[in-house]
Amino acid sequence: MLELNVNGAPHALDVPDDMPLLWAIRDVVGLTGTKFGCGIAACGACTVHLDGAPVRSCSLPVAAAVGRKITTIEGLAPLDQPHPVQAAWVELGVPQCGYCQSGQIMAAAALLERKPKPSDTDIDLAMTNICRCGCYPRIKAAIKSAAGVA
Amino acid sequence: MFVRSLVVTASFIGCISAFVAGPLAAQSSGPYTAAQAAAGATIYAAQCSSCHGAKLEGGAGPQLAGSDFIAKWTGQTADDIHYVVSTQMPQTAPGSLKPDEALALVAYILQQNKYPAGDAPLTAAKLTSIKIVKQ
Repeated sequence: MLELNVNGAPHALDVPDDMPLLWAIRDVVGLTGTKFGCGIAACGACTVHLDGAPVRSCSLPVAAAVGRKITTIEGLAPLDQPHPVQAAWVELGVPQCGYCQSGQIMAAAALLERKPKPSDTDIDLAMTNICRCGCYPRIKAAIKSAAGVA
Repeated sequence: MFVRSLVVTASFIGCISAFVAGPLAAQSSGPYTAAQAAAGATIYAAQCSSCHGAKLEGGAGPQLAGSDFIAKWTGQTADDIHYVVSTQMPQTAPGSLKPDEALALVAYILQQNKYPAGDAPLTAAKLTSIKIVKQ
């Protein structure tokens, strides 16, 4: 039995140690906002925060997350009080198909936590998530808007 | 008279030596030690090379030494590299590197990007002062 802390709540999971954290979050805990994309930590659709840092949960064994603080898109901010990145996402109508957006938002939120006024280079280096719809200009604009540097 | 000339000449040579040695010493005083980079190379081979390539040339993960790396990271600091290394790597166990291991890996990346070694090890306090620029 593994003990996970997801969005501030404890969860006891009867899963193998090497199950990807993404599977545990989606299929066992039941939080489906985090998406499966490539399965090889390349696209970032599965991004969650581990102790505040953005990580790719599809390639992270669940046992490696024990004792750490896991935050998913559902726990980023209260529904009635969205994170500034989420508010900017809505304001600028960032997503097209929307599949990658929870990972994009988690990566952006972590960036702004570390660099509240990011430069273009800061954004380019931190935002390695892939968007098949090619919404990169709006993603960057939303991050700048959330940071107040637009 | 001869002795006085000798003293003056020696003092002059001493001043010249100090003038020459000063800048040269500063140039060789890199931000990490060779031993630290060697330790980083060992960790890299075990935990990073499968994604980033045996020579940091990139693969499934991005290049960590060379022109693409420098172009991408120019203007950032070693602290930005250290943040990624210490909190997001390796992707199968992010945050698992010990503090001295993460610093050793950053030292190795600096070394492979032609930053010179020095007499004192890389420390967390130094990271923000090390700008990423072509060496």
